[in-house]
Amino acid sequence: MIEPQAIEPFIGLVPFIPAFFGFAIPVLYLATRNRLIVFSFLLSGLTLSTIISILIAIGTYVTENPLVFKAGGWPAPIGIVYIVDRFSAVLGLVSSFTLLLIGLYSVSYIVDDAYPWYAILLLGNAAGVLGVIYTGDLFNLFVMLEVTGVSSYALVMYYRHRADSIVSGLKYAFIGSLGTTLYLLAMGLLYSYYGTLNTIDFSYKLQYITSPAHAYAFGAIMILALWAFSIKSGVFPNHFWLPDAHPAAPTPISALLSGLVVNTGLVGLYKVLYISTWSISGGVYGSIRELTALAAIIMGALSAVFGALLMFIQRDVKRLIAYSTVMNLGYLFMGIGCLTQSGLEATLYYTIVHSLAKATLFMSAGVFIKAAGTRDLDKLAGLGPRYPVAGIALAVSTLTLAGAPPLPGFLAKLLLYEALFEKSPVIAITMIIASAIGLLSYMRLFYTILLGVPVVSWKELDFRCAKVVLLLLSIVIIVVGIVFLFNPDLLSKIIGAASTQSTIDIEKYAEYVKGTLRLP
Amino acid sequence: MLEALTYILIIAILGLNALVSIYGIIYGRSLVKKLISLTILSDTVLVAVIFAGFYYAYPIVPPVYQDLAGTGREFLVKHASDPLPQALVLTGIVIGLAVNALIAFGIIQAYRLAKTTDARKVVETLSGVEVTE
Repeated sequence: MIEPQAIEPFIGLVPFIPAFFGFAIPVLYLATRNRLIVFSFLLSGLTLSTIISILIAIGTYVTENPLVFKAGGWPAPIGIVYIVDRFSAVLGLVSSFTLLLIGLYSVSYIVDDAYPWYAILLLGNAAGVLGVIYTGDLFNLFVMLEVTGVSSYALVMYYRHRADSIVSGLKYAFIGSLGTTLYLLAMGLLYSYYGTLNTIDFSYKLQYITSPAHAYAFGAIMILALWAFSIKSGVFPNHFWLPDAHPAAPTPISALLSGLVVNTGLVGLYKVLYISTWSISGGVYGSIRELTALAAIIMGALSAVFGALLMFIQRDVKRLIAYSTVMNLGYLFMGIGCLTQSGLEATLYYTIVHSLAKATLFMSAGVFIKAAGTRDLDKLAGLGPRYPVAGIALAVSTLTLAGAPPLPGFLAKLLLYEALFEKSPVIAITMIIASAIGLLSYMRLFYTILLGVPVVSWKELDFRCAKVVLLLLSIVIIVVGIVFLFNPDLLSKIIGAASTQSTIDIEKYAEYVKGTLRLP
Repeated sequence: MLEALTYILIIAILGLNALVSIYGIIYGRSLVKKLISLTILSDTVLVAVIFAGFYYAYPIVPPVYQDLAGTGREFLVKHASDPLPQALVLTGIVIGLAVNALIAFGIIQAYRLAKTTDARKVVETLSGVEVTE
């Protein structure tokens, strides 16, 4: 039996290990100049953080309370605190597992001389993504968003002699740093009006600090935070950088950006709308919180429809998948805006499914792109059967994203539809319409690559690591789908329990954290 | 009276700075000017955060190495400004340095490829390039 208290000291290591391994790579590279050693070092770092995140996920399920870790031993709320609840533990586990597989895929894909930079930036990105998920401090969230951001901008510009990657990387960097600067302003307002940056401490202070000036400040904080997170997640009207930036990166990085980095905005919204403001019941604060959630739903709905429509007219296969990300993040914003237990449950399950499926889709498309030397969808026709493993992975991931049973996308969409229908039938119908338009594009991708007539010559590839990754990811997606679809009990024990902890039982959660940290 | 006027003046200047720099980031023609606008925006926000931890007090004492015995604690709370916003600003400056250096590198690389730093001309010059992997 695992003791939760024994695991707590390891929480800080999950973001720290990738950062440490990243900073050690230049030394290692200068000492050995060996590609294999650098990549095995990268993979060992990611494996270590995956193992610890598995332990943490188990730890959150053996106890009813979240795990709390004080970084540096400073007393809260001044010091940085990591609070890992079941929601963040599950997401952290999925993220670190996907990162490990993306790292393994890169061994086959990144063959040029700049690989040590790639390894450093990938590890930096891993530290940022895991830090965003585990942190319980809103300013630390900003730092981790920037760590994720800087490494993402640099990775988009990885092919530095290629014009499109430099231009779209610059666009991403300008928009992304504008968003994080606005979030920093929100943190300044938060500290000057409430005197805290800790999520749980903030939630208790909201109960007794009330005045008209504080209501304005709270509104400004929520608007700025929502704007910053919508930029980070690529949700309408801040989606315009995403379809340029994601395809311009190397394919494993497209998978990383579309599968995991866009989740950072979503997790930030979860920490602001659920963990920091749960204590609000009615009043001016209550209506501001409801309005923010409604704004997230409307932005999500528009994002879903626009993403689906624009996805249909794309010729470039990577741009098509990037627009699918815009659409799916729209669904997730709609789900997280529900502020209900069912909404959070659907969001969590959909995020897991989307991360796995989107990473698989990008990485399988990457095999065909590398083989044919082009990103034009029509020229990739009929290549599926030539590369059976990549073909299977493409089939599994497109069908998952389209929502075909028994693959996990079906259950995810069903849960999301039920949660949205409780909120309002109009939103649920918008989701169905967007989903139907999206289905056309997924089927176009599926039929063209798997059943089309080949038009270009292809070349043999040495993609052993990529094959292992794609096979493993396809099996994981199918298993996740079947296990949860035919086992509703397990779904409610894992996903349902995670969402209940952060919505219905949130008071117990907050009381526990307050007691552990000895908050005033 | 003077305090209130100072506050209003500082907030007005910061707001004007922020508006100008956001305009510059979105509508600026030159990539270099966009970067300068971005640094102005982030510095404005950092000044705002410093301002959040500031209040009128005389005499001003540093928040460290104070005698806390007797009324010392009360004196410290009344006369020292809050150090936490300054810690936040230091973090913000370090992060901003990394982002600005990266963007400056990107602009240099765009200039090498397109021989101009005009954002629209860069996009035009580079849009005809065949995209391959």
